Amino acid sequence: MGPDPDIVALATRLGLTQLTYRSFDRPAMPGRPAPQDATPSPAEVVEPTPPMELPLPAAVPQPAFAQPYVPAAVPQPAFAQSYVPPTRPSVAMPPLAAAQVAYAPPPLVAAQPAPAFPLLVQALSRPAAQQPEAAAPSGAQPFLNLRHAVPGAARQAEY
Amino acid sequence: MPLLCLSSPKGGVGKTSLAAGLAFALQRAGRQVVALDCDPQNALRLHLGMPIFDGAGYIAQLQNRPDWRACLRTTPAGIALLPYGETDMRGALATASAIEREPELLAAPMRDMLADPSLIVLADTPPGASAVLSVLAPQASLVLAVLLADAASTALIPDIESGRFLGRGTMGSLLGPKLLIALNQVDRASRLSVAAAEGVAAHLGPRLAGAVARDEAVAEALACQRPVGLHAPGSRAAGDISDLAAAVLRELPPPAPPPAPAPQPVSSPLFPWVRQ
Ligand SMILES: Nc1ncnc2c1ncn2[C@@H]1O[C@H](COP(=O)(O)OP(=O)(O)OP(=O)(O)O)[C@@H](O)[C@H]1O
Ligand SMILES: [Mg+2]
Repeated sequence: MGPDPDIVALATRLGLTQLTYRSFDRPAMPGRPAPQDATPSPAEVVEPTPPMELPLPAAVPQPAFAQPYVPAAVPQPAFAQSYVPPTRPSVAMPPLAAAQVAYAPPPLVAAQPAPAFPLLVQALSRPAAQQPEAAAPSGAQPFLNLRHAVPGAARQAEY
Repeated sequence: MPLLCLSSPKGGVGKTSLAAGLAFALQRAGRQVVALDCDPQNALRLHLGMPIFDGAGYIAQLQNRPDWRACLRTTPAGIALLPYGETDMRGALATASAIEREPELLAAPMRDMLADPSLIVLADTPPGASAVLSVLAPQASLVLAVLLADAASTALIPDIESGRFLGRGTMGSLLGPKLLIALNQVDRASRLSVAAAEGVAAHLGPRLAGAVARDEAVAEALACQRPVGLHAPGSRAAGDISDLAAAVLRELPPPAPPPAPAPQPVSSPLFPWVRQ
C-alpha cells in the first residue's frame, strides 16, 4: 500500500518533507525512583527494574511507508524569481447590502426539538447584562485591586 | 453523628453530582441526611431541586454566626440542605479567610450538628485545598476523595497517598485511615478509562470505596434538578451510586438506637420520699 495521494498533495502544499510516524513512538520508561525519605537497609536494596520498551497497542494501525516520504519539487515558472506584482489602486468594497443574500442558518437538530430541561430554562430565563456592581451581594465597591494595574490608583481606593 | 466529606484534589470530577446522589441514596437506605454545601459555586442546591435564583444559604453568612437550624431548607428532592448561599468573589474570599482565621466559626456549629446521633452530615467541598476542608476533615468520619478514571486523576494518587492532599505529618497520619477514594466516569468503551480504573483498583485495594460509570443520566439529572437516583433510578450510574452509598455506610458508625424512655417516677405509698 503506497502513500495516500491526498496526503501527498496536502504534505506538498504544507511543505512537509519528512512525513513519518516516528515521532509517535513511545520513549522507554525509566524505572520508578525510590522514595527519598525512606532509606532502605542494604538488604532491602533491590535492583531497579530495567527500562522497558512498551509495545504499541495493537489496535492502532501503523502506515507502512517504504521510505520516508519526500515530496516532489513543485515546478516553478521561469519568471517566478524576477516577478514583482504590479501596484494596483485599492478598490473599495462593494456595499455590503448589495452583496448580501438572505441567510437563515439551518436548524442544528432538525428532527426532534430538544426537551426543555428545567435548569437550562431557569438559567436562561433572565435577560443578560446585570452590572456586577449592581448585583454584588457584598457591597457596591468594585472588588479588583487596581493598584497593581493602574498607575496612580494606589491612593484612590482600598480595593 | 457521622460527617462524610466529599473532596478532591481536582476540580470537575463529580464531587457535587456524587454528593447529591449519595445524599439521596443514604436517605433511601433509611438514614437522615443533612447536605452541607461548602463550595461558593453553590451548586448542590441545583441538584436537589432548589430554584436557581434563590440565594439563601449558610456558609456565605458564616461571619454573622447564623443558627444553622434556621438556614436548613427542605429541598424538592426531600433532602435537608444548608446551601452555601449567594456570594461573589470578594465574599467567597472573605468567608474563606474568616474560617482560616477563626476555624471555630465552622467547627463549633459542626460539633453541634454532629451531636445529633440520628443525622449523617454530608459536606460538599470546593476542589483542591480549602479552608473548609481543613476544618471539616478532622471532624469527619470519612473523607471521600473523588477522582476520574483517567491519567490526570491517576497522577494525583501519589499526592493522596503521601498525605500531601490532606496535610503532612500528624494531620496526614490522623486522616489517612479515614480517606477513601471513589472513581467517577468510568467508561467501559474507553481503553484508557478501563486501564485507569483497573490499575487504580488494584493499587488501592479496599481503599477504593466504589466506581461510578460515565453516564449521560448523571448530566441530565442535573439539568432536570434531581439526584440521579430519583431522575433515572434504572440507570447504571444510579446503581453504582447506591453501591457506593452501601460501601460508605459500612464505614460509618451505625445509627444510634432511639433514646431510652426517661424513667417514670415511682408513685407508691411505700415510697413517700419519691417526689411526684
Ligand atoms: N458519572 C458521570 N457521567 C457523566 N457525567 C458526569 C458524571 N459525573 C459528573 N458528570 C458531569 O461532570 C461535570 C462536573 O460534575 P460536578 O459539577 O459534579 O463536579 P465537581 O467535582 O463538583 O466540580 P467542581 O470541582 O467544580 O466543584 C458535570 O457536568 C456533571 O454533569
Ligand atoms: Mg462541585
